[in-house]
Amino acid sequence: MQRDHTHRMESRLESTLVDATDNPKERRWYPRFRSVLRFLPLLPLLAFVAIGLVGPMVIPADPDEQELLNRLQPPAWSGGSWHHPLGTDGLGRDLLARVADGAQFSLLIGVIAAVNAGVIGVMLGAFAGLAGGWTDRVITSLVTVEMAIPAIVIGIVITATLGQGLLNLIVILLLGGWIVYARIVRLQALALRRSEFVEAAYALGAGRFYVLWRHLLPNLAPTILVLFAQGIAAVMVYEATLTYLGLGLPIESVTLGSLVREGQQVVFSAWWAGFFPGIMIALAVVGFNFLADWIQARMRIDRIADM
Amino acid sequence: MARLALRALAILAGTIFVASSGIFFLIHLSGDPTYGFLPVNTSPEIRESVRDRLGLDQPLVTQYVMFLRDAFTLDFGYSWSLRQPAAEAVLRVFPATLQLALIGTVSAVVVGVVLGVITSARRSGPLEWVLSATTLVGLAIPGFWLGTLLILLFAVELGWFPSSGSAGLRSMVLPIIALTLHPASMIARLVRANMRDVESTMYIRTARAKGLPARAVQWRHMLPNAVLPAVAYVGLHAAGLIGGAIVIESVFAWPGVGRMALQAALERDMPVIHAFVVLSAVMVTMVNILVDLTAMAIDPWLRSSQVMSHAT
Repeated sequence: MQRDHTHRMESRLESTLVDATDNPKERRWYPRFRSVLRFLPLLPLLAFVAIGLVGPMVIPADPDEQELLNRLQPPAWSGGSWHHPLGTDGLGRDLLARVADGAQFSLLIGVIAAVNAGVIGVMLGAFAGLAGGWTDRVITSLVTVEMAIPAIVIGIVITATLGQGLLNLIVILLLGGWIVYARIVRLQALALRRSEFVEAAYALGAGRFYVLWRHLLPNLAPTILVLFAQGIAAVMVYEATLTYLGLGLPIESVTLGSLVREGQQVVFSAWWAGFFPGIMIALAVVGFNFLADWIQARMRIDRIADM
Repeated sequence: MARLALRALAILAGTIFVASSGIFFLIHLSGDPTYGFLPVNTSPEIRESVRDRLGLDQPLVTQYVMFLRDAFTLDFGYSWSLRQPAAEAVLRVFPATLQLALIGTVSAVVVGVVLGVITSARRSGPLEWVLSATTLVGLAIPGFWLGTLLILLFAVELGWFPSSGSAGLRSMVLPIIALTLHPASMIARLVRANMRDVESTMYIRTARAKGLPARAVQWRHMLPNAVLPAVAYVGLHAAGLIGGAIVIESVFAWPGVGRMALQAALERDMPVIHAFVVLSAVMVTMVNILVDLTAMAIDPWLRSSQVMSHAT
């Protein structure tokens, strides 16, 4: 009773404090510095998304147009012209337009694959943790077995049997991507299975799917969100590695990975051709991992270590 | 010890089983497998004779059982593009890959642990800042691009190391650096975080109180207690480390199984692919056994019965 009272006092105190800072007189026409600073970690991601989504629309150059007289032009600031800000590749194509195109493709594929891998992984993981028994054993051994196969090997096998194509690439990314979700969600589901509110739900006659949907998933939502942000970064690196090796997609497709490969072929005469696509990959990795950290900090959830 | 080896072998057998089943399923998913490797305009008679010779006219179940039996006896069939048995071809280039993968893994652990210990000792300062920035970069950039950057800097600009091939020790330097940076950054961060946790324990206070020099406290007392999660990381990401070596082979034109498999994938030479998958599972198992042995050497508790890696 006493504790309840003080708790209420505290919350009232808190709300007055919040009101004080939210006082209209305190509001200024410019955003306060601290609140701007809070969004600073999202800057790399914003930069990547701006180049990837807006870039292809506003950059006038055609990524596939060849100007054989303007082959291997350097970037504007090291001797090139502003006609091709990042220079041109071995066939005289505008590198900026190609990088923007590749970034757009990588971003879309990354999000699509991460969403699907997330749905499959979360469902299997949550179900394994909640059901236990044989379900758990089968899913766990599937995870154990797949963890003994390097992800790149899956890419090689699928390409060798099914050939190259967009759908096959997504299948490869899914097969490599679901495991992280399944492992971590399973562990959290195992912990939640023993909690009182889940037991209470079972005692009231709730079925397994009801508990999964109404109790487990809402509790796991912040974790899943963080895993998802990290997952996009991981999938994008995986996709870039595959397309760099010429796996998954036909060899002429424009992705960040295939641009790095093209750049490596002219590495002795044009450093920029492979450098800028790689910078974009790094930007995406940093951006999405910063986003994950940012979500973690904002939601005050424990750090999820992939251990 | 015996239990540990048995467990590793069980996982290996399970992996070979699941991977071989998957490959069998995928080969037969598209109907007649001969369309995968014979030219489209092959005459029906030749196609039929090839089917007959490869046993493709048998019932699927019989084929499946024979496929699995061959996988477990390391008989993967005849590679038509290399014109020799696939197992032989892959095993011939296997030492080159093993060399790269093992040296890369060991150097990742050594560099990661040393970086972690150094950065955990000083809270701030230029060295700490540089090393933190290095680990951040190491985590952000993918291995294959790091490889091309290294070629750009050390092979093209400076000319210190060859950009490709496997002639001598000098040509190993760049691939090993490219393989090391990412896992070493991860391990350095883990070790640093754990060193700081261990620092506040009573036995470290005791070690300092009895007058041990700071370096002895760090390396003899703190590190063995802080390094286990890093070792577990290597076990958990063994597949990633092996996969990294397979990718790096292509960047530096290193004549190993990765490059051979990549070529085979584009030519749809399934026996080579099958041998390659089994071999990469064997490599991952080897790394996992090494990790378990290392963990037992470090932690006396684990020597009793518990298995520390593979924990899911």
